[in-house]
Amino acid sequence: MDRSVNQPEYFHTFLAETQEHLLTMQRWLSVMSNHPEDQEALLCLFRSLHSIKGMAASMGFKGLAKVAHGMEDGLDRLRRSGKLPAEAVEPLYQGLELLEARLADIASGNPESQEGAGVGDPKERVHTLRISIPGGDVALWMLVVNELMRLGTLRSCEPAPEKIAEGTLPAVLEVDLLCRFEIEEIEQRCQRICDSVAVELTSRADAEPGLAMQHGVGQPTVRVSTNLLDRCVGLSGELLTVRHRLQASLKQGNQEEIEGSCLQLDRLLADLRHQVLDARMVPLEAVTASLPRLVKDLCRNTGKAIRLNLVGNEVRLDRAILEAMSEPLVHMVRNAVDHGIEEQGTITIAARRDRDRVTLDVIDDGRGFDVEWLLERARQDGFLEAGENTHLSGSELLQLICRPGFSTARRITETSGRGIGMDVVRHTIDKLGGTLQLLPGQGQGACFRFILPLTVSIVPVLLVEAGGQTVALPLMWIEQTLDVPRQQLRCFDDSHTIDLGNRQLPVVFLSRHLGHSPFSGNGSSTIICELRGGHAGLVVDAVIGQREVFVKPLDFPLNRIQGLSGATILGDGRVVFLIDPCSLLPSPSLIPSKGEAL
Amino acid sequence: MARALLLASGRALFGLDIKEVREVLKAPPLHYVPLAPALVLGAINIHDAVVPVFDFSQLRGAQSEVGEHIVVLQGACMALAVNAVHGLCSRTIAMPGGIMHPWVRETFISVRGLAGLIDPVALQQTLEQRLSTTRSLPAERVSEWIAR
Repeated sequence: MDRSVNQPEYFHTFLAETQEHLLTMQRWLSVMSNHPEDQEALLCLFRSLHSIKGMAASMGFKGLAKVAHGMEDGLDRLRRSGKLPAEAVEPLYQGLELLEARLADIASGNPESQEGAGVGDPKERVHTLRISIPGGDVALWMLVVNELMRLGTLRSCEPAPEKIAEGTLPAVLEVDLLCRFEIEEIEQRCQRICDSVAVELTSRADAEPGLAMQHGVGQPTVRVSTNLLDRCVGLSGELLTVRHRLQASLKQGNQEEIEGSCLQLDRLLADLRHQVLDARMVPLEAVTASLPRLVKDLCRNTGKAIRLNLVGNEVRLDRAILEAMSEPLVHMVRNAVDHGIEEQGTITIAARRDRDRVTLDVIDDGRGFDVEWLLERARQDGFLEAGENTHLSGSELLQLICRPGFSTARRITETSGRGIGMDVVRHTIDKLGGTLQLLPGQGQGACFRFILPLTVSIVPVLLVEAGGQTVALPLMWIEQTLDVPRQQLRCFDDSHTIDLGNRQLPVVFLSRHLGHSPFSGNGSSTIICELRGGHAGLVVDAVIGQREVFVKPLDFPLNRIQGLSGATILGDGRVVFLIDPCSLLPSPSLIPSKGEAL
Repeated sequence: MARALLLASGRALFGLDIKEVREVLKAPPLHYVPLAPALVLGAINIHDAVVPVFDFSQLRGAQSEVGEHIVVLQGACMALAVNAVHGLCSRTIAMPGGIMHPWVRETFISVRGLAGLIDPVALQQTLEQRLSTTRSLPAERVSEWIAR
């Protein structure tokens, strides 16, 4: 590879643009598989391939350029014949997969090893090793561990180096080592410390690819139009002017002027926020582009004839929401293919924007839900009592199929039927602040409706106090807050419930979860935040108030702390963390739903 | 010659390559991090970024002995609370590796005695192991399902 041309400043642009072309190719290829005579689709495919070839060659990625060139040659012949034969679609899909794999390799930084050039660094692998040193002492073991760390990254080490340092000498040391070296080299390096070191390889696996290309929106970048950037620059200029005006009026002590400037500042900030959030918007196509191929593959495996109909692909959503929606959408499509449609049918994914939210319907015209069978299954699994609820509404049915461990499938297939997916889908939607509905039967089939917010960056929260500390609870989780005298709490064993007249609500103490005594406050009443869905209540010491906050996503290592969903900085500079209340609750299956007796 | 910021934690000395240090703060306001293990002392607000502060004594397996100096690492989004910061020193006669901690890259002789040079990447890996929890929902649900 010619490093002189492969300049890092263009690398990310190259990745983003190539990926965009691959998405375009996917779209046109799915059009062509239905309309082989579509000349425009053929030309667009050709143009994308040509661009990929040109960009890859100029960046010095010869392998990628070669694959694109080969495909372009083939397509050129077809272009002249003016029609795409049906049997040409499959090789084109395979070519597309090859291009994606090459791009993923390039993105993860090891293009040479995959392009057969035979030069450069070999690929990193995880080696599972068993190491023994007959008669080795602490110092010797530590030197070997140290050498292994120099060779690569120790993914796991049993016993841990600290234990060895404390004198726990292993008979055999078991490690997972991520490195570029072969077993012989590792053994040789260890034997330089002591001849009697024996290294045995038990298994080896390739390291995970650096970039998942199949679904999702790829690199964490968005393309922003220069118009939008110009507007942002203009707004920051206006903000500067207002600041000067505010400073001048502060010096003069002119109250009216100060108020006027503050109002203008408010308007400009709202405008700037709106423009910047707009820059994060990505069309839905970024996640639906891979679905036609998924359906095609699933059809091939199951022998069904299913058409995928995508409506409203141009609707734009926040990038973070789209990323999170990728998996649920794939899951819904798989479910529809595996369990919804029997022999042939259509799956429709329709999106539309309604003011500040997006409605996304996933509809199949299959056999729909066999409610009787579902009820029987629910009773067998102990989700329902015998004789209970013989008629289910849409929301009750949804609640049932979203229960962890409940599967609507009669049989488990490779891809679905284990009863895990729908629970995860609902959890994802809840986290995003959206809702999932099951629409009542419009004829046959099933229709799931996702209602999603446009953005996740600015979130309304409830600031509460518990155990003397302030935390934020996303408002989307809270159904209502109640001021209840503490005496009204009933205690059974170690758990508490509250009588709300028509039902009993189990409650958990936030302060206890935060490591403080639950009755640390001296107030005689308690605030219950009833969590959405009516599953449980949360007892806090005080409610400070509601705010709209800019949520900062958590980076490593804070994102490893379970239960935190973000952080925000308040006006006085205080850092307050957002808690995901669901993480505080015991397993949802243990908590009775709204209306159920305890 | 390679230079390091010399830190003291208990009676042990550690060094951080100056390229790895973003800034040193004296007693900034620490904000509460809910649900965090004792290892996390709190979080600080640095130029509008939320940075967690770790108790360095606990990290090295010693008893918690919180000092008032906080060293913010470059690149890695984290800070360490240490007993004292002794300023810059040159790393003379450095030997690769450390015996006690996997995140000590080398041992060197400083003006105050032997010190271990901290490898921030390895330190992050150690933290990852200590903070890792059963966060992945699907896997958890799979085992729940299997257990039934």
